Amino acid sequence: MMVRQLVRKPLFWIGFFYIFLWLAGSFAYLWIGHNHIPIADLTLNTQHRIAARPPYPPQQFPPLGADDFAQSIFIVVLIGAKFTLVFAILIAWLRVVLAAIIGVAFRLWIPKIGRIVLAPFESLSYFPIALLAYFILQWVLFQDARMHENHFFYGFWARTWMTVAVLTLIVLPNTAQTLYNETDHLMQKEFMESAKVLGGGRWHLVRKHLQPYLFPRLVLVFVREIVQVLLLMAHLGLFHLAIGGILMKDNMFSHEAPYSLSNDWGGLIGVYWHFLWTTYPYLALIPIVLVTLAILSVKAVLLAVQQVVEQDAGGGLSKSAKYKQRTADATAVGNGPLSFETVTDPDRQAYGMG
Amino acid sequence: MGEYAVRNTCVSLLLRFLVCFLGIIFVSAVPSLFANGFHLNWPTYWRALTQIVHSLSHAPDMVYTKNEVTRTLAYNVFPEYWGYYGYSFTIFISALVASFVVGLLLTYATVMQSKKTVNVIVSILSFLESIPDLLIIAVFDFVVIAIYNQTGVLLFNVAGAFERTYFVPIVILTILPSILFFRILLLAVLEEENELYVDLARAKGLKRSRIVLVHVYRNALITLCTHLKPIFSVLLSNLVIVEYVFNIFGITRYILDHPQPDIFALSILLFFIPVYFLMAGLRLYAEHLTGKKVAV
Repeated sequence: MMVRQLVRKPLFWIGFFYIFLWLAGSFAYLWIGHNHIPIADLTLNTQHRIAARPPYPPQQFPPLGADDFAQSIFIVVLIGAKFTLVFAILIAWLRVVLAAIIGVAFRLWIPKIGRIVLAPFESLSYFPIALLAYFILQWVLFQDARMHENHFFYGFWARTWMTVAVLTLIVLPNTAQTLYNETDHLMQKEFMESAKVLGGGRWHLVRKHLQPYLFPRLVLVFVREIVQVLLLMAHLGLFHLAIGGILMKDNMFSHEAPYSLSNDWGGLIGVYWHFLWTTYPYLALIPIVLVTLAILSVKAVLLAVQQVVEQDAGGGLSKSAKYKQRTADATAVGNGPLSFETVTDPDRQAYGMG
Repeated sequence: MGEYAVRNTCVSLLLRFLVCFLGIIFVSAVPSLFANGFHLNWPTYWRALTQIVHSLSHAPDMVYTKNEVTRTLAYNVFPEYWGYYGYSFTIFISALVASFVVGLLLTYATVMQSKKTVNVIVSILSFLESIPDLLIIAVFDFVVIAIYNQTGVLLFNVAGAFERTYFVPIVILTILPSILFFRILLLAVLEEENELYVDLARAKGLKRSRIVLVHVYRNALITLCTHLKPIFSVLLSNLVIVEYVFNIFGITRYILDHPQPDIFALSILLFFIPVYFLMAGLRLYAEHLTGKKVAV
């Protein structure tokens, strides 16, 4: 139902295609090119002397130039695309699914204890999450190899799953809290009361009454989380933390330079940042622009989903209610004062959501 | 709103403050849980926790340790710390206030336009707000360097220094939160516009500017209060990035240079406490002004 409406939105297709093309290209190159990275040659002049050496600007080594390890930047970002996008989507999905399970289960089965357990985690919103994640991950993803001659203690995939776990768990209590509130708000509806009086068990409530209301919200939260994860990955990349880790290697100039093992775009931001101070500062902008475009495409999908959800909530949704919901969706608060009512509930107007 | 309700709100605000305070202490010790490898290391976590509590209860004597070749040296955190903290906090609060003012002004300017223009602006804003701070910073750096390469004029010192500059970090930090403020205020105002009291005011012949500036803004404050925390989070993470990229001698540098759980906890708490009370005060004020309740 939701999908059928979604495919009619041009915004959805714009966002979806951008993400899909990168993913398809990236996986195609894995199968066809086996992730081989072309290396740029030194440029020799007529006397066979070195006239120029990498990094090269795009005109000299199309399409995007070569970095200071002489690698073709286009192929590097193409390989990195799957790590960025797949893991961003995976982490966002894990966050939402786990948070939904925790939020709903806590509210339905252990409402009092659940509230008390979740309360101290409100403190997480006063932390710069990137800094907290950096402290947790820096040993595994960076320091370890730096102190042991470029050798990681854990394998590539072990490190990757650790990163996924940390990036999922670090905001999980907050997302769970949001969904707890959302469930709590739905539970106070009159039809919930009726369902309970008529003898509906908790499972019945979840499946028949919560699910249809909660599912569209979950889709929205999921898409919003993708944006958040991409941002977090970009911030962590700046601190030289990338999926799979970053090594310090000698580059073409025999200088120690960061070298990403997965080439995910977030990590590349940190790896390419120093190009800002070189002859070709725009090379540093490539991964940042890619991440920005990815975020904007996800945002386009989000807006399309939002339009569908608004339509689903019924044409009866008053104009002011629509604005209210959009305000709530604007930030990650989630517990918009109005989730799905078609009419404003006078009780909640007076007492607020609490 | 009755006196009883106000007292109730105050009690719940204080309770939440205490819970958050404790939560921050527990969370700041979490990195120690993964010390020396990726397994839950409870003894180091416990040690970090006791260190935090001990340091906070004896704050004036707080030290950071440095491993020299033969021995471990301890240095006093204070008063050196205040320089770093004061600088970061000044930037932070200035950016917060500036973005609020910019948001208010832009909202006012926009609301005065036609409905069509407003709708276009609303949809553009939802894209603008998700532009990563890194892009803004990188483009800024890029432009400054390009100008320097072309003309030899260095507009701003982009790579930090011991001197503490204010203008550039504040301007860069202001950009994203003002977009957020703008968007939230704009939507809140549009939402209020459909209320009956606006019709009444218009019927009584009040000028539109007066309706918006006095009556609608007052009620939009309630919505704003609900969304202050996310704005605060965005601003805080931007602050960390700006300080790191510009190599500013602020709180981020201090934390990264002295990665100790107690210094981490102290820094977070010193941001949390003023901001929490600022938000709480604003919330009480908004509730007092409008007689509505802020949804938390």
